Amino acid sequence: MLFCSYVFVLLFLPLTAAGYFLLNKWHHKAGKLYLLTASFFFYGYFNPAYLLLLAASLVFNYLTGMLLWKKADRLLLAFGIAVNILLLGYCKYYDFFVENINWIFGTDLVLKNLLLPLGISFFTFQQISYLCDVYHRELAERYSPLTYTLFVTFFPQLVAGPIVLANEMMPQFADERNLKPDEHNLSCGIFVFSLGLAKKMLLADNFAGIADRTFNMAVPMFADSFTGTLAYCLQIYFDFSGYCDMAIGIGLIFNIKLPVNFYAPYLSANIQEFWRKWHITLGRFMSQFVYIPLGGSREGRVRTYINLAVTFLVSGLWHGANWMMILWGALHGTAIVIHRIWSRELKMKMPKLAGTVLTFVFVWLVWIFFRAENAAQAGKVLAGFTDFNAAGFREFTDEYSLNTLGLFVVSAFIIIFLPPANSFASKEFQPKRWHLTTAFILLLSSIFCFNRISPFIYFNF
Amino acid sequence: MSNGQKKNHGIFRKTAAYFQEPLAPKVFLRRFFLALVIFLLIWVMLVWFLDPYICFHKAFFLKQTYTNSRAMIPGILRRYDYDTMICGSSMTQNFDIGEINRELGVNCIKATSAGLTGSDMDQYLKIALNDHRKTLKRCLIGVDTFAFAKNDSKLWKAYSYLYDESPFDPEYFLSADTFEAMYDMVRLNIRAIYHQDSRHQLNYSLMFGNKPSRMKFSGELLRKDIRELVRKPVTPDAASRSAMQQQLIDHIRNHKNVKFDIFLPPYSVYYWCYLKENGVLEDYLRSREFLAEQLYALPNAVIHDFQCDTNIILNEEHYADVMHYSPQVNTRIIRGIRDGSCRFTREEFKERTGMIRLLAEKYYGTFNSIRHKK
Repeated sequence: MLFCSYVFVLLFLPLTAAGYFLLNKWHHKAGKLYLLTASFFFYGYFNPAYLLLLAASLVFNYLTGMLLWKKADRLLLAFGIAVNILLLGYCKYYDFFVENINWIFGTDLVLKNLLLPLGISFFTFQQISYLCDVYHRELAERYSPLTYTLFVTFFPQLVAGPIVLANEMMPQFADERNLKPDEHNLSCGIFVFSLGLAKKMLLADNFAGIADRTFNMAVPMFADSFTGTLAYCLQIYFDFSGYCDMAIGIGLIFNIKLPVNFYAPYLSANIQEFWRKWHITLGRFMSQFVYIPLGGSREGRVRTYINLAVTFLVSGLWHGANWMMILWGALHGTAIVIHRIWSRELKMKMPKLAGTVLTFVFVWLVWIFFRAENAAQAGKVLAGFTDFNAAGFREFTDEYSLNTLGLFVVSAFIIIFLPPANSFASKEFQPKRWHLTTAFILLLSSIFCFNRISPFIYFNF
Repeated sequence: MSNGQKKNHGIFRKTAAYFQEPLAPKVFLRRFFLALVIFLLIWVMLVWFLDPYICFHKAFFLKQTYTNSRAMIPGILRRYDYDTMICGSSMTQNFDIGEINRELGVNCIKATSAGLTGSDMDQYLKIALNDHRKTLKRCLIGVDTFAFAKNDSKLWKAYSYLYDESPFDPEYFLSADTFEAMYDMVRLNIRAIYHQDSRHQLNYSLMFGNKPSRMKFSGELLRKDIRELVRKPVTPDAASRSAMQQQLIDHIRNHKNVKFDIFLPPYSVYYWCYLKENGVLEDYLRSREFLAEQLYALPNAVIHDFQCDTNIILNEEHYADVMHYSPQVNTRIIRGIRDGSCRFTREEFKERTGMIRLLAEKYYGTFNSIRHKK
């Protein structure tokens, strides 16, 4: 089920929230069980067959966690992590691996064409974090299977994150103060949800059409490449950050505070800052479970650079089983290393505005590899930047109207001048009339666009 | 600062202060949900009342406007009175319903869409044959055999909710598309107040007359299209023949009381050359023969073949591009159906299929010289 669908907004969300709080009045376990059932329904709505895999993964990890509670055995932890990685690897990377074997050795091994279970990258990472937290004794208590299952399957974050950690989520599910509806959280949640929904429906989906046009063109010209790639850069931001805002908003409705995943990333003054503000929870996970175990920055300068590059390669591979994603990760890894040499070794500085523009342009152009299906498509779009053709420009201006320009201007205004939507999700939030009016208008405008939706980009990962 | 500027400044300040006023969370929630429920109720009633896509009733109070054929066809097929329907792709959009009624003595309705796929045709036929099973006597169907090889169109997916039986679709009640249709309905009705022939203002002829032929037709345009052709033609394969069976032929077989006039549209001869260039001409001819084989076995089906009518297909002035012909050709088709002048025996039909092959061969050189002329 998509957040931006009639069935979700008009039926599923109100019924789930109302049922959860009503049942909590009777017995807190009944409420949790209801929320759990709703989360399974939400997940199974995409494809019921996925439920089996999710359930198997839950049982395995909970049992492994129980054994780790009894004895913090390093081997057992390694086994638990390995099984998770193997499952993810099998479902997500098997065909990629076989394709490359066939290509290198000229073999004819059969592809499995497995349908990637939705959100597998997210729920696998969460469960790895759980096993590590148990091993390191970072959880305050041993939580029930119900709380554990809710931590993994809580529907707002199940299919596309944010990637939550056991020690930040499980105490919230266990806290009895969170079982009653909280008017402050409800109003704040509705406001943040509406902002996220509008980002997806009114901005991201409009940019999607512009980006798709360019990437599907046989011979894009300068205007097409420039606009299409910029549109994709904005689409992916509004799409994914919109999804995360919606998740945070829904979490608040249930009194669960999900971590912030985006914080004005396109205003970053350098690439390192960008990665502290873009998909923050993935960065946190990669740092905790890849970069630091590799040695982090403790083992000398060269080793640090290698560790950084490897972490970004893994991050690229996590996003998708293809060489374009790996190239995207490698380019970001290279940029991070260069930035580190620039700032730490050479101790050079750049004016903030110049740094912000440079970072944005780099991120924008590198998205081309993220979006392109293959190197040929990426090359074609990049080649478009060098093709200044008057006829192509005329065709471009015929295709697009002032509305398109308006869309870019509004988006730039939102990115540069407005606070990030998730900044409203705080205890200091005080509802005002403009919050009410904005939430009402944005929610309705977005609902009216539901029949034009395209799926969330991050559902693919 | 002048008094006027001060006054304006004051209004802005007051408005800003109004919106900055804090609300207790309880009040926020109460007002939010109340406003939402009231708005939705009023809106749903308004959509039901105007009903731009004729989902619930024929228009009352305001006159019906015809702005989106794809979305309106299901409603028109369900709620209008007719004993004959004409169905097909953009090749049939130019037919004038008035002319069909006059020439064939029928009360016809039009269910035509540009880029029609086999699924579209299937849906149109299902609705007409079920909802008008007592009154529907005749179906005129323009068949592009490649239509059955096409995937469901994006437009079909966007409007698929209009084809099901469910009366309360949120896609209808809560969509920007319906909002635009309602806005157009009101706007065009207001415009029509000042015109004697108000049907023109309501875009009636877009749906029922040959107004879609805003296209121009000339040899020059046809040659330009030949030079610019880039897309590959959709190839009718074995799967498409199975789709044709289900989406067209089964309907004919199951409704013996309805007469089906199937006509094969006269594309320009260069269309066949174009298929030859792409190496798919034989696939098309196989698919044409398959259709004929099925139809000749059915007593309630008649096949009218205009595809080798050299008076039409060799006259470049009739075409806007390699496929689309002028309204004069539509008139000839209707008269041909009326007189049965393009009905052939099975053997003659086979010969005509061979004739297409020969024509494609004969004109291939001319096609190539046009195509590669700078």
